[in-house]
Order: sequence, then structure tokens, then C-alpha cells
Amino acid sequence: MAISGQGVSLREAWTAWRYKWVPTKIVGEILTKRWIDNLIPMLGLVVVIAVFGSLIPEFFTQSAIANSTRQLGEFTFVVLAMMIVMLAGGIDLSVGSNFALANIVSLALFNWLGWPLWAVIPAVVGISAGIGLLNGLLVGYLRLRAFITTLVTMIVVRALVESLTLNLGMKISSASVDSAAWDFMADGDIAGMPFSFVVLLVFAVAIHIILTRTGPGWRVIAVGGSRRAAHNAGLPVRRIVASTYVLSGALVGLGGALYAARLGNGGNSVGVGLEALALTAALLGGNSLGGGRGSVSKAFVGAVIVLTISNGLVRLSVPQGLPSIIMGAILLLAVAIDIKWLKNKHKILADVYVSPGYNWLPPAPSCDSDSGTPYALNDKLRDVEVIGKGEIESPEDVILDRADNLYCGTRHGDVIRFFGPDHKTWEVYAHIGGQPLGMAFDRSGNLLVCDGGMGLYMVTPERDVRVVTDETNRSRWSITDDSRLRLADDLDIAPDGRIFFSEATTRYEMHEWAVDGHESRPNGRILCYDPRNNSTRTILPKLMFPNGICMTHDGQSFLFAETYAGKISRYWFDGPKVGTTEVVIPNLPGFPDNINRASDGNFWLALVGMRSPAHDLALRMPGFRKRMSRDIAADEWMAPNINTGCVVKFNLQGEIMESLWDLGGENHPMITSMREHRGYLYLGGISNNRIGKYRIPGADPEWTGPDSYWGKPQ
Amino acid sequence: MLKKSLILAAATALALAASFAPSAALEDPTRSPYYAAFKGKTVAYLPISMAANITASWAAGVKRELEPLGVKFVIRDGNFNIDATAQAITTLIDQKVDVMIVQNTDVQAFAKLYKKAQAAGIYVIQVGMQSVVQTDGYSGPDWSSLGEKMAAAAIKQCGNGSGRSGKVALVQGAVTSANGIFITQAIDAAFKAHPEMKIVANQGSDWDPSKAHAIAATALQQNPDLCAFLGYWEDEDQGIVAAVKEAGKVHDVFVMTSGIGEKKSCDEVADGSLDLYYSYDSRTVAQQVVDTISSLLQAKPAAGSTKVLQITPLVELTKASVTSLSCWSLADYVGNSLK
Repeated sequence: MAISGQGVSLREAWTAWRYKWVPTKIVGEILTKRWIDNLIPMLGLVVVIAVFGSLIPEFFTQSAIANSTRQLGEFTFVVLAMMIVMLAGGIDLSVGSNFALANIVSLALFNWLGWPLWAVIPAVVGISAGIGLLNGLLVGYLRLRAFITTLVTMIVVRALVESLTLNLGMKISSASVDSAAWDFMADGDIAGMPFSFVVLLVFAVAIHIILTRTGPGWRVIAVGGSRRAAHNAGLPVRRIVASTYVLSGALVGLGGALYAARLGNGGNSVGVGLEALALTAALLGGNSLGGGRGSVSKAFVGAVIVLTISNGLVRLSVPQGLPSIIMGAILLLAVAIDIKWLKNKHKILADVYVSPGYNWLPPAPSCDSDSGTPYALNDKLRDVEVIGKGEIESPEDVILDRADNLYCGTRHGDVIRFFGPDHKTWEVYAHIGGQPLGMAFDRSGNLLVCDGGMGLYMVTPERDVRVVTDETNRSRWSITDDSRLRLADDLDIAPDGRIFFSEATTRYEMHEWAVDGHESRPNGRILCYDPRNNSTRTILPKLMFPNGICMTHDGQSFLFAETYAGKISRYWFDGPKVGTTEVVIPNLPGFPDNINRASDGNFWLALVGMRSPAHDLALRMPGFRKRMSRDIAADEWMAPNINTGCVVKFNLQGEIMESLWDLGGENHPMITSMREHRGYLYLGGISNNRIGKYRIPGADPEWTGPDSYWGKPQ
Repeated sequence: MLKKSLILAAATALALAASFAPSAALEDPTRSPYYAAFKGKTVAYLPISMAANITASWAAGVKRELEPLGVKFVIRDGNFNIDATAQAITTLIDQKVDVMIVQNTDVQAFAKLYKKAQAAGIYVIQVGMQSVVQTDGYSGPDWSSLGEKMAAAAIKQCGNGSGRSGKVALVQGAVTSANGIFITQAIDAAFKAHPEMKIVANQGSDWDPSKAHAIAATALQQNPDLCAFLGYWEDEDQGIVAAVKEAGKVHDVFVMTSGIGEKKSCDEVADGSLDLYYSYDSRTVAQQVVDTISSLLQAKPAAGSTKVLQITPLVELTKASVTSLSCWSLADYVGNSLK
């Protein structure tokens, strides 16, 4: 960044330093990751553990943790039940009463009736699953509202529990059966972990696998994500919803049986308020109330947080009533965060992702018609021939083969071939998709195409479309996965067959290329595809919108343009200077696009737009551009002037030979590419609906691109 | 002769004077072991909830006596949540406190935990309501005896020869507590001999006055000729009192309950809201707990080897027998002790 000694103010020097070294763009990239949803609950968990761990010294002794995990086992069953129902978009308020029912039925069957354990557990799970089935039928099949229905079930089952407690309470409490198995369920350890916790882990892993890796699990999440879409896709929505309630009931039954073994309490207060606690835990962990977002790990995190808080409050001898108030406040907070986050996540992301950087450009050379510079405005392109006017759209690049056929890409994803030599008729040569950009012919006559949004493609002479490459190595320190190609722009082919192509930006998609310009950060890179071993590697990272690529005539280096840096550089990939980069033209008056060979050993360059003082100043004020991106709509942002452009001819020493303009933009308002062929220059522009044909005075009438690259055919 | 008697007199006087001189200091050898027994010990108190007068008064009474002796008194309030109390007990076992005072809302809930605590050498004193497992001490009323008294009063009030319907409603607290189980058993046994007594309602209110109110109101509506309410605890039975008042049947329905004997209850007996009240003075209970702890800490038996009951006597109060000295003021008793 050459700003020292350029007379830039201290404040601006600080701005340059800050925007280069403080990576604010990382915040936006982190927010795009999928695990960000889990991050907040994990942070909450860490905070809670830290707070209570510091307030209560013995909170984390081994025995304390062992005891807590025993309680955690039963509670997490209920939270898992709630999570599964929430995943499908419902809610189950009856889990508390169901839990109490499982508890009293276990005690009745075991203590009073004296059933053996292997009969009690399935019976209890079955009865609780039956309550779940009742919920499932009402909510899933009869389409009643989940909240009201499970609320009613909660009340009805609670009444059932109370009546059972009344009638059986004395009988249960006075009997006591000694059973080693029952005691083991209550107090036993497996490998140092409490039995109930081990059972929970087994079920948690099973449910996790079902939800994330099997069809039934995906269908549940699909129903929760969008019920209508799932229905339209043919999923049995009602059956899926009902089955979540049945599964929820079964899990609650298991938790209740474990609780019965541990405490043996047949009282009425069992499970009261448990549904609120389970809901709080599920929400705190990040499971969404609306459905479609949830996981076992989220349920786990939430359960640990809630249990830590409630046990911690008891340990701190918090005065009467305050624990309930605190848990209620936490539930409110969890619901608020859930709703706000869902609604605003993409807004926050959009707000935070765009991170304008500092871009200093040297003062632009003058283009005034009376300035005497080689850039001086003229009207040479006014009277060129026009090909395909109104018949094609967005011919970003144009290329001709030895048979004088003219090829261009369109925004419909087609490669169009205009038949030579008059180019009056055309056909769709091949359909690739995306937006075909830079093109080149290789030695065998295959047409290589950089396709924006898709990658590097090839059309064989038999018009067969093949993928050459659409991914590269992932850079080590990149947060987003930049192994996918987003905006392959232009390419050229080395004598040994290696293909060097540019990727304009790794942070934005094809249709957002203007936002990358607004950002003006070195987000792009140049890659090399080697057909000898089918590998793709990034060879030049951190370039500012690299665009045109053109092999020099020595076969050892290529020229490349960096659009928003307004400069042309040269990179040696072979020979004694291999690996070095040199700036050829440091200071263009506009934004360079494609570069192609000229017949006299020099190079043609398209300037897709022109710099302006106001825009240049804005590029040095990233804070201003950030506020602009935040405060006003994207189509009102200050944009570079790409309504006008020109063609420039230059040599390897960086001298400008001539420039070609269309004043007033009548024929060629903007130009992104030009290709010399048999004495003519063919012009392409991504916003144009035509191709231009300019007669180059004094040019070699036999010179063609393929011959220049690969020699005359035998 | 005179000289001899003078010398004798002087010698006698000296001897007498010497006998009045202070002898070498004699220390009470039992003092220091007594105070050493308490110093640095931790006593944990686990009530069902600190929000009730009964548990607050016990806390005040025990704390007031033990803290000056150097005992650390901690409260773990489960707030009606059995699981929370169970967790607290487990943690206290880990921390190896010296004494635990636990109020059982359910006879089974902490049974296994008591065994663990005793095995760990912790003295466990149950207060108010017992568990199926007997530990070092229990201080509280004899619920079966209370049940017998209540049944006898109900029979007298509503049975044969009283001209009333014989219909009674039982409003329990927690059905599976010692209070619920033993009182109900006693009433059932007593009513066996009196078939004219009909229990038309028998429900648990979980110590909650609003639930008791709902139960009482429903019972009154279902049985217009209801004779008596047998309430199991004064705090929740405020709901019964309110329901009876709302139904306008204060003089028709006999309301009996039991409690700690605080001034408020005496006022209600005096103004006729309560017809019969049994008082188990919580000051006595608190003192009994302290005495038990004191014996245990001094005698240092193995935990669980001595099982002692301290039954709090029941005082029967009716409108006729209540005086200004029958009850006591909670505010005065607790004072600043719980701060």
C-alpha cells in the first residue's frame, strides 16, 4: 500500500492501517457459519457455569457432578421429548403431568402390585406413550392447536394423577419392595457415571443419529421447517406430527420411571412446573419454537444450563419465590432471543457482512480530449459495425476460431456462435448455465469458458459441455469455505496446457459483484488448473477483483488486471523469474477488465468504467461507505461509473499506445472485452445487446488468436 | 485466765476468718467439653418451604439457641420441590455437615438418602413429619394420636345422637406425608365402629390454601348438609374457613384443624371461624430439636445408633377453653433471629 510520502494525512494513514490490519470482515463471515446458532447457548452455558462455580466453591467436586448428572438424566429425557415435538413445529405442555403419571404408575406397579422390573418399565413407557398418542391424534390428525390441546391434556392427566395419588398413595407409601435392580436404577453407577445418565446417553445418541442421518428424522425436521412445503413434497405430515408426540410421551415415561426409582415419591407435586422448565431448557439451548431447528446437543446444553441455575439457586439459599421469578425471567429471555434471532439473523448478517476497506489510488491520468495523453477522448468507435444487435444479451467476452466463427456468452447461460465470415446468422453453440465470461481456445480446439457462478467449463468441438474444475484448495485461515469458485472471470492457457484463471471475489456471488466493488478489498485470487494431474491450486491470493488474464508472447508469464485497483501486473509462472509479480501499469484512468493479444506483439485492454474524483475519494473513506451500505438501499449506493468505457492498447513496458472511445455511448456504451481477428477488433460488453466490429487501420489481415497461441495448423 | 480466753477467742476468730477467705479457684470441668462439642459444627435445616410460619418459627428457635454456641446454621429451602431438597441433601452429605434437620413432605422420598447420610456419619433429625426410615431423632406431634382425637371430635359432633347428618369432609395436606397417612388411618379406624359417619370428600391440597378452598367449596355445594370439615393443617385450612364463610355456613359446619398455636389461630377460635383447634406448639418443637442435637453432639454416638422420638403434646382449644395465654406471637418469637 503505497501511501507513505504521498502527502496523505495522518488520519488517513491511520485509516489505511486500521482497515488493513483489523479484520472486521471476519465478524460477517462468522455469522454465515451454521454453527453460530449453537454458539450463543454455549456461551450462555460457559457464563452460567463460571458464575455459579465462583459463587459456590463445591459446585464442581466430583461427587457433586455425579449427583447432578443423575438428576440431569431424568430431566434431559423430558427436554428431549419437548425438543422432538418442537422440531416438528408443535409444543407439548403435558410433559409434566405425563412425567407425574409415569412416576405414580411405576410406584403403583412396583411397590403395590409387586410387578417385576422388566414388566414395569415397558408398561410405564407404554402408558406415557399412550398419552402422547392421544396428543398426537388430536394435534396431528384432527389438526387442533398444539398449545391448547396439550394444555388440556396436562390438566386432565394431572387430575388423573391426583386421583391415583389419593387412592393409591397410602398403599404405595406403606409398602416397600426390596429390589436390587430397582436400587441400581436409582443409585447405581456404570463406569463411574450414574445409571440414569448412561441410559440417557444411549437414547440421546440414538435420537441424534435418527434425526441427523436417517430419513424419518429428516422428515420431522422438514415438517417443522415448512409444513406446507413438506406436504407438497408428499410427506405424510399428519402421521409425522403424531409420531413426534408418541415419541415424546415414551421418553417422558422413561424419565418418570427413573425418577420413581430414585425418590419413590408418590406425591402430588411431582412434575409440577416441569413443562415450563423443559420448555426453558429447550429454548435456551437454541431449539426454535417455530420448528425446523433443533438438535440433541441443543437440548443437552439447555438442560445443563437450567439445572445448574435451579440447583445453584437452592444452594445459594435464595429467598422464597425468587427462584421461580428468576427462571420465569430466563424463559422470557430465551423466547425473546429465539424470536428476535430468527427474524433478524439475515438482517444482522446483511448489515455486518459488507466490510468496506481502504483503497488508495494514485491520481488518475487525464482523459480530456485536449490533454494530449494517449487516453485523450476520441470517437473512433462511433461508426463500427454492429453484430447481433438486439439478438443477444450480455456478451461479456467474444472469441473467434480459425474458421472465422464468432463466439460469445449470454446472460442466459448460452454460448452463441455467429457464423463467419459475415456473422449475420447465429445459433446456440452450447448451453452451460450461469453467465459465461472469459473464453479461450486450447490446442485441440476445445473452448474453455469461465462461467460466473459455476466455475471453469469446457465445450468440446463436438459441443459437449464438461466441467473442468469448480473447486480449489481451501485456504488455511479462511473462515468461510473458499474452496468453491464463485466468480471465475477470465482465463488463459499456457503453452504446456496449464490454465490460469482469475476468481474475482471469494466473498460475493456473481450477481453481487458490485458489492465487492463497494467493499474494495483484495478478495480475489488467481488459480491454476493443471490438466496433467487434474489439480487446481490457488497461486496468487488476495488480489483486488482480478479480471482479465493474458499470456505474454514469451510463454513464461501472463498479464492480469485488477479491476478496482486500476492496475495491470505481470506474473511469471515459468523461467528464471518464476513466482515474481511486477506492476506493468500502476495507474489507469479507469477499471480494467479483459486483456487480449494484439497482432503487433502488444496487448489490448478494455476499461469497463472510468474513475471519478468523488468515487476515488469515497474509496479512501471506508467508514463513509460502511454507513452508506447500512443506511440506504443497495441501488442507491455511490457506484463506479461503468456507463462508459474504452479500449486501450499497451505494451509490456507499460506504455499506452492508443485508446478507442465511443463518445456518448451510441454504439458501445460500455466495453468489457475485445478480440483481434484478421485485422478487425471485436468488442463485447456485459451490459450490451450487441457485439462491435472495428476495423483496425494497418493491422495484419491474417492474424488470428489460435494461430498466435498454437501456431498454424499442419 | 483472761489471757487464755483472749488467745482462744483470737484463735477462733482467726480460724473463722480464714474459713471465710476465698479458697483457690475451682473450675467447672464440664464447661469446656460442652462448648467444644458445638464449636465449628454445621447444622443444616431443610424445610419444605420457609414461607410458612411453622418452618420459620422452627428455624428461628433452633438458630437462636445454637448460633451463640458457635454452630453454623444453614438453610436449604426446597420451595415445595422434593427433587431440589433431595439434591440439597445429597450435596450436604458430600460436604459432610454434622447435623441435618429435615421436614418430610413424603414418607418415602428421602428414605434412601437418610440411609446414606447415616452411613456417612451425619446425624439426621426429622422434624414435623416422619419418614419410613427412622433416624437419630424426630421432633413433632404424634399424627395418629391427633387423628384419633379428630375422629372422636367428629363423631361427637356429627355422629349418632347429635342430630347431624354424619357427613364429614377430609381436607388433607400432602396425601403421602406422615400427616396425611397417619391421620387418615386413625380416622378410618375410628369410623369403622361408627357406620353413620360418612366421608363424602377426601382430597389432598398439597399444603395450598387455594386448593383447599376449591375442595371445600365443592364439598359444600355437593353436600348441603355437610356436618364437619377435618382439616389437616391450619395454613391450608384457611381455605376451608374462607369457603365456609362464603357459603354463609359458619354456624352450620364444624371446622377443625391443627397447627403451631400462634396468635392468629387463637383469634380464629375466639371469633368462631374455627370450631376446634389442636396446637402443637412450635416453640416446644424447636426446643426439642435443640435438645436432641445437644445430646447427640455431646454424647457423640454413632450416627443412626440411637433413635429417639420427642413427641410434642397436643393442646385442645375451643371457643370455651381459649384464653389470651393459650397462644403466642410469632413476630415476638422470631424477632430478629432470622436475619
